[in-house]
Amino acid sequence: MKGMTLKNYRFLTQYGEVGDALKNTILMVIMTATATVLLSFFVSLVVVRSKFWGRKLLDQLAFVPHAIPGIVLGIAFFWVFLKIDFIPIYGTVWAISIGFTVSFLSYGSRAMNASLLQIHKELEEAAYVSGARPWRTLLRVFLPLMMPTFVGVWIWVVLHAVRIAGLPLILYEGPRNQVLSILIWNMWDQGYVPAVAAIGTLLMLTLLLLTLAVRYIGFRRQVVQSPTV
Amino acid sequence: MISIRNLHVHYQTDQGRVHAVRGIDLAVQQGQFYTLLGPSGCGKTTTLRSVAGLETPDEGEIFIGDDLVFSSSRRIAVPPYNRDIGMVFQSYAIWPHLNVFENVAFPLREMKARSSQPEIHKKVTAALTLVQLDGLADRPAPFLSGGQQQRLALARALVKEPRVLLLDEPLSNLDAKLREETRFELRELVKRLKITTLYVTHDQLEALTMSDIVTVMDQGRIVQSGTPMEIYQAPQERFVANFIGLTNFIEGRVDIAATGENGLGEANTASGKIRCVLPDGIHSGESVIIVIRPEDINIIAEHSSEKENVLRAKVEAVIFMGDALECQLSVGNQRLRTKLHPSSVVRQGETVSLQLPPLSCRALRGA
Repeated sequence: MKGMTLKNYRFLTQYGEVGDALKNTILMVIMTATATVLLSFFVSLVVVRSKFWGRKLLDQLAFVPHAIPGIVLGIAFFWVFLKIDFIPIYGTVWAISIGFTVSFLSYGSRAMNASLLQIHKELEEAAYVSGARPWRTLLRVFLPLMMPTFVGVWIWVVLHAVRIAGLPLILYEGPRNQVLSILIWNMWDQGYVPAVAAIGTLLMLTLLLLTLAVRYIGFRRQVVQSPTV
Repeated sequence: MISIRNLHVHYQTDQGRVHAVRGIDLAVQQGQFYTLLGPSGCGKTTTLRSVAGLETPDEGEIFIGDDLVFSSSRRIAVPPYNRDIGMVFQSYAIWPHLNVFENVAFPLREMKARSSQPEIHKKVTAALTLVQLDGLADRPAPFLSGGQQQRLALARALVKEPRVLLLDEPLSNLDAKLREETRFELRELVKRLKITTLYVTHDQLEALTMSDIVTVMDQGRIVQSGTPMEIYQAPQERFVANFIGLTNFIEGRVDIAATGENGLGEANTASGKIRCVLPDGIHSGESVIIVIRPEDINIIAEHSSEKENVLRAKVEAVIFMGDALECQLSVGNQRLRTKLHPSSVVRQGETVSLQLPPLSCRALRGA
């Protein structure tokens, strides 16, 4: 017990860059996860459900980023963001979010494709002939059946976006735009090894709790109480 | 109750545009059990889906009761959620995220005139009792057996008390024994409720045992429509005779045109002269196909006094079917199949005398 101490955790509260990194990370992962879910859902809708002539090509395009290493993708975006300097996005967490969204789109669209294919058209048609209008069918049949996939992809993206350092390292600029993975990298570099371990421990605990909470909300059976009259 | 006029439906597949329904006219009377029967791809399901509003036809008119629900000329296409129908799908389409009660309550909750909670509870319970699923209301829908899911789908289709019930091969996913039981239960149920039913199947036995009217379809057209007995005993086209039940075909030419009340005439065939029922207005010399069911062919004693339509045949094969003995016979090049009582003594290779009752031999116009 003698070797145990909380002083490294106290140190984190005093180290100025931690607060910004934490805020940036939360903002970045929420934006990335939400954007990935929405974008991959719409891509899959077109690929699986539409008769659009280019749907196979779109499917392939969504999968291409999977073949590109994070660093290479980072450098590609780095060039793009420098070129379009009329949009002041280079170096911010927005840049990191966009990069991540593109790279996670391949996984997201695969998961969505599989899920959409499983929802038989007759499940929605049964709702129409039961008297439900299209938007009611969407609300009461389609979305509840898609929800586990939305939640699953969302968590997966959060977990990966928090821990991957390669792409953010290239796209971030300046101490105010750090995310936790970069902070860990930099602090390690500067020799704050025990503090890095403390951040890692906190990160693991937080992600575990988040995963459990979201799984509970998203995957529980939609329990409908029958009226007992 | 349902009336369809000159219906044409195309749909788009990966292979191109398919003309699935090519001018269908039919009328289903109030309370009738009306069956569309045909092989897959004949357009029967497309016709049913057009009545439901799930398919948009290119041409024609559809009435449900007095409501015009589709008309190409008047540009009317009432969406499925505004049609007074209940439907059971081939896959049952039970919503897996809802329990049994909520699956049945769904149509009531989506009605324009909202029902009160106690009213919904009463109607759902009544519908579940009707299909003998009472007591399973709280069970999650995926935890039901195939037969229970089928009955749940039926309860969901009936709970709103629609004017028309549409059934798309509802028995094809059940195992053989359950299917047989359900045939009678289903017919009995819809007859008790006096609900007009449009039924789609490729199973001739279902069509014959359940229906008031059977309409046989092929390649998007109606081939023949009538009571099950008419369809079975008096097929008017080779397709119908071939599709429903086992049939023997004997080709020939009219020798003596029909005389007398029952239309009996005589035809020359490779197996000899056969007296048979000829179609109206056929002349001698025209080619015909004589249709006779296997169960109508008799094997008679060697020196029987019977002289009419007697053929000598060689027994090629004898197959024991349990409830019958199926014999494959040959008369020259003509092959015939016959069904005998299982206790009959017939041996492979022997020669027997066959008698074809003239009234059971029905001639169709040849090609």
